[in-house]
Amino acid sequence: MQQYIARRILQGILVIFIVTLIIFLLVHLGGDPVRLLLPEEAPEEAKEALRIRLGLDQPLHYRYFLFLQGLMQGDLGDSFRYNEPAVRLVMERLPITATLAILAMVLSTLIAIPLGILAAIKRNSFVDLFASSGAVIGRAMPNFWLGIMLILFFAVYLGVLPVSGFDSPKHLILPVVTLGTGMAATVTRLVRSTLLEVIGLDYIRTARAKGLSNRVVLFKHALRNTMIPVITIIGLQVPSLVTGAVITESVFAIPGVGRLTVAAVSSLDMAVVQAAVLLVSIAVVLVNIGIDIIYTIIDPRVRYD
Amino acid sequence: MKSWLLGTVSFFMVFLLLFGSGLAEGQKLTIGVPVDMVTLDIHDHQSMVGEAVAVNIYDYLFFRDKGGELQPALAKDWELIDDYTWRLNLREGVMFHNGEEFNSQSVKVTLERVAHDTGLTNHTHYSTIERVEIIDDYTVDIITKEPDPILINRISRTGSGMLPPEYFQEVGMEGFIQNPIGTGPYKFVEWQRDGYVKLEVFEDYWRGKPEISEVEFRVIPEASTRISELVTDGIDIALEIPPFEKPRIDAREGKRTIDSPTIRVMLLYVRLMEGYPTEDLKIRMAIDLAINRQLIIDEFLEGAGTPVRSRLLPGAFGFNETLYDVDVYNPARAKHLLREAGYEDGGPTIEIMGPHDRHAVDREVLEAIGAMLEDVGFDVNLEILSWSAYTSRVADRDHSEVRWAALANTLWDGGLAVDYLRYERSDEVIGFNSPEFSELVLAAAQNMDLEEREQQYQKIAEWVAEERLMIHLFQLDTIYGVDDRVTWEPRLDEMIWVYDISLDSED
Repeated sequence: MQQYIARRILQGILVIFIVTLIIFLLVHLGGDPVRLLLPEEAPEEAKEALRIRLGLDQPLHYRYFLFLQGLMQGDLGDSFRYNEPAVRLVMERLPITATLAILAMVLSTLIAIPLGILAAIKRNSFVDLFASSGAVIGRAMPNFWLGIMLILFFAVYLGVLPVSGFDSPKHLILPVVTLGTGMAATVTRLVRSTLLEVIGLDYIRTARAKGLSNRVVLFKHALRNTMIPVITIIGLQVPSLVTGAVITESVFAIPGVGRLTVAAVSSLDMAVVQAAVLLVSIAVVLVNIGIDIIYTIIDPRVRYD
Repeated sequence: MKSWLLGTVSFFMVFLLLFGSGLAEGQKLTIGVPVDMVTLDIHDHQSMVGEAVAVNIYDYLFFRDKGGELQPALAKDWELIDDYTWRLNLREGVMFHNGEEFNSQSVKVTLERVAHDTGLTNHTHYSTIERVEIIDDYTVDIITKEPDPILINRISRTGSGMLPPEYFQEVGMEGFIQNPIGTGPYKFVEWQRDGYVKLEVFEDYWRGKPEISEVEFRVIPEASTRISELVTDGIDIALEIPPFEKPRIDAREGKRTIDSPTIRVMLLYVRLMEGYPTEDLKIRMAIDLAINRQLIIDEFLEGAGTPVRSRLLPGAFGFNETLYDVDVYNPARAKHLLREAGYEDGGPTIEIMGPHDRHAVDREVLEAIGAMLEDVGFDVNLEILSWSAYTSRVADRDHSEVRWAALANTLWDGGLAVDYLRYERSDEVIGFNSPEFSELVLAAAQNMDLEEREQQYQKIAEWVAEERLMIHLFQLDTIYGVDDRVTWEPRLDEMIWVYDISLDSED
């Protein structure tokens, strides 16, 4: 078990390493790095100073080494727009986006799993129809459209929820729903189809034949096996929660990492783009390692790997 | 005894509740803005929103009124001692938020900082200032490196706020931007990045105590969200309303839109060098005459614009009336010109590059222009890019015959409007190389005889318009969404000067 976790962590580190390489290449091979990291109007002295710091006269691998060195010290350069370390800017906002994403994940899981189970158990009934078509619609709706529609209906027309901002729990409701809908839709369909598949398998028939009640069969046997692919997919959905957060944050005027990144991309503030990509990647890798650990609880076969 | 006391207390409480709420709480104004400020260092940004906030915290030496005319502010008047020396008489009895007094030292420290520090974004606009000499506590001389007819314009634009010298020198800019101090009507309270800026009233403001006691600039990037906040009473003023949303706000009871002209002019830059069809004046004229500006304004901008043939607007130095609010649309003549230029069978092929997301309907405007050009016989290729891709291509000078631009003239001066066409810059970028033109522009730039200078610029503007060195489209209006409780006439320079705004109480 411990070996398994240790291996997963090492794999995670490898992934992060590759991400740093990609970020590095993006900036250093995509045109003049100084041009990307500082604006056109920046004074020559500042550009020279940055050139020296990045070691631009040195060979590529040495520059990568300098880059990693800076990274170890938590230094990914300064945002030229804000004149502040990019890492600090991202870290300030990461908790906000994380809150949104975690709540969205929890909400969608809480909705999707029961709904998917119900749909599977009562296949072809009204509940199933409702859940399945709802899932299709939820998947098809673009994030920003859903967000704007929710604002128009709940905040403007009904007036029961605030329009935008991040000041109170009430403010979280619409953004979290917006962000979680796509994921809820995907997971509902997955739970339904996986459960249907599992129910048709031999060991379920055996369990029934043993005389176990339907409920025990369902919760003790079928569900546990259903959860394995479902947890995987939930883990894979995390990056799309991040990208969804970008749009949700813009629509609901929430000061998170998503908005910061989009603004940085628009203004070619590469230091911030680098920092955001890296820190979000780390977060995603950590979540996936967490999910893998959850696996070991659900699937005993994994422990002996 | 007890009941008597209780009665009195209740009476006072009711009294306070009914009448005191206005007195006790004061009024708060909330403004929804589309982008966040970038920095609180007024010398290091070119952001419209940043300055809109800054004009409430700081005062300039001269401040434009609603019509764009320069009025005395922290400086009472100026006189020209010689071609290089401007003497300013300063206002007495003005306090900074921290109690420091405004005087010549403030002018010296503030102006010399931005004039000497080449690392600051705004430095280029003040670089003609060599130094500031203190004559006495309320008189200063600004010495320029070369004759600079527009010095006063320079010290009355973005970044011209006056800083408190003692405090500034004590804490440096690093410390200063944690807690900025000015002489303006409002004091800085808090800046939550990407969130909001909060200001509170400065009771001892030299113009008199401001009416509104709290101001919040809230960052709401998505236009429809901004509008939703406006209609649900979340904010009082919303900036940058897309034209097609005007009807939605106007239909709401208690809300309205205000169409306000700005100093931004949308235009098309054209390449004038060999190898491009636009080298030929007839082709450029054909482009100019093919565009039905008024139609675009009416259809896509909901009337929020004015056709122009120059970047100089009413109030700017060198403004030429004959080039304002005039549309030369004449498609028949445009077709004729194309034939004369040798393109009877259609063509030439023109490539127009522009962004789609700088303003709400940029794409539609560009597409309309493309269609209008095709109507008279041109073969048009539209290249519509995202803003970052667009600015990148512009920086690389990677574009063909025609490119879009929307420019403000923050110096309110004829010189800035034609700076693009001077000598080396223009030759390389657009292929314009006229020694006579450059001579005229250079002469006007340093002409200290202001009357003669004005005439020179009017002539230059006519030259530009007739030769179609640039093809001007229209002056842009901006649309504000406003609660009916707000009484406000927006400024041409788009500064949100809260001192001018009044709010009816909610009774």
